Amino acid sequence: MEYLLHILVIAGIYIILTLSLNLILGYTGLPALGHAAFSCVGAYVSALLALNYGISPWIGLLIGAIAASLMGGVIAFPSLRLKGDYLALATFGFAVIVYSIAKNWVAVTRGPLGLPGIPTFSIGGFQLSSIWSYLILVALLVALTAFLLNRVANSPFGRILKGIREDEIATESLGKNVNRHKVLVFMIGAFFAGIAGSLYAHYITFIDPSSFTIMESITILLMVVFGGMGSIKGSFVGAAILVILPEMLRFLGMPSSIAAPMRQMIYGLLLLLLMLKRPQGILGRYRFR
Amino acid sequence: MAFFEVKNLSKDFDGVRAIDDLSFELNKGQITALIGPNGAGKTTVFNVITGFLRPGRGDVRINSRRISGLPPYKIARMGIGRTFQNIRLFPKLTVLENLMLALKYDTGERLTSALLRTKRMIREDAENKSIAIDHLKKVGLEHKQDALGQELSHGQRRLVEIARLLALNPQLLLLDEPTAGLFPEMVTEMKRLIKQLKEEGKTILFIEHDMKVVMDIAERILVLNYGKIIADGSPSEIQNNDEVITAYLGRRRSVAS
Repeated sequence: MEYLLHILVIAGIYIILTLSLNLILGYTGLPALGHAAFSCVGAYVSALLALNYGISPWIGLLIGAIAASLMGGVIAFPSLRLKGDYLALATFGFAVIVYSIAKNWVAVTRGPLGLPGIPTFSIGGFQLSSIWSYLILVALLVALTAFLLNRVANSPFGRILKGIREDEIATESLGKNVNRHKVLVFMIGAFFAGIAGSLYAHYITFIDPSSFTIMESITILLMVVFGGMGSIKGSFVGAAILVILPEMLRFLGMPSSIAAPMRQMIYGLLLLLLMLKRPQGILGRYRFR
Repeated sequence: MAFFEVKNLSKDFDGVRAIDDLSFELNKGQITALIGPNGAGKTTVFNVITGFLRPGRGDVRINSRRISGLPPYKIARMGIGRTFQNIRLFPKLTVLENLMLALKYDTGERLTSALLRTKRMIREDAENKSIAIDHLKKVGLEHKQDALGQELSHGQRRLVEIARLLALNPQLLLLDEPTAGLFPEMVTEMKRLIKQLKEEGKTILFIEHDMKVVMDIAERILVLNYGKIIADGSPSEIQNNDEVITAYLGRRRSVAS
């Protein structure tokens, strides 16, 4: 039971990551490949504030998200000049930089040793250490994220984002400030990714750079494409399937030394099948370009 | 003071002069055609006026306010709208959404309005929806409001692009080959539409290759060649201008030979 709830918590965190990347990639059409970098910033900022300054994880969650959001604003600037594959490469490079900083700035992050003993969330002295209470917290934040991003996507503001995805030049010719919206969308997406990172840090109570590698960004990207670009429901489906499916392997009695590489192979195979049979994703309307 | 003026405008592409010290003015409420052989620089003129290309030198003004050097979205907001030679509708958005994207919002487009789903945003969006439908009626395509951009025929897409431009409510409309690829009935419809816009007080500058269309609706013709204006006058003046005939149709053969 404990194990099942743990999977649900992890799935919830991935749903937040997938939803937030979907806003950037699915709704606005910006191929950002470094989403784990934003959750990395959220996780480290929140964890370090709690460990070094005794700041409440609740406040850390918010500050971490804001820090990630500012980072999103910074990475958005090259996106104003770069398009398509080049933007994907630039964000990829950015993710590598953030990962390297987490790994090599030993004085602050303790490098590959990681940060152990991160405090958990508490409400009025009551520690949210039971997995049940944590699941409720994650579920609430998933619901809040989906609620807010749904509002953003289905509004005149969101219509401009879709316009940018469909035709940037036409959008600009209609008097809409494309650059401003691109920066904003990166900041919003990074904000929620920061929340996910902070949730993860205070849940596992230990983080190290290996949780925020480029493979992690690609996994989130897969979840978006798998579930469907530009679909909120799709993000739920994509994240849930890609978190839960590999766990099934355990029940096949596979040793973990085989299960881990199998996970990657299954991701690859699923993606291959999906691109052949349903390129717009399970619930999506738009193809990956 | 002229309503719209271009003064000493130049634009180079890697040393090739696409626009060469170009100057002209447009009168308010007039239909002007911009013609010239392929590669004369017509679309480049549009791109520089609308800010998609930066001018090398020179000045563009509307209502005596300088617009050259501003980003395209600001120029669009100052009352200059354009269509594109290859039609740029949003293929996966509905016709109605295409138009609503062009409409002006006071607060409804703000992120905070979206997050809080303010009453004001909902009201503004509803108002804009009915304005958008009105514009669609002008081109006779209100029954297509829920179709996706990509589901329309070529002619319908041209009309929707113009309806979308009207939603932006520009004073000056730059139309890049509005009748290209249209079948004859649609060309007639487009000519009617352009004349109607003039009646509503819009100023129109359009690029066109079909001389019949130009002669039918243009009140004034600017002839561009190698980035320079080589003739400027009424349709009848242009028709009999030797320089234009030479540039456009080639040199007239000597009758004696």
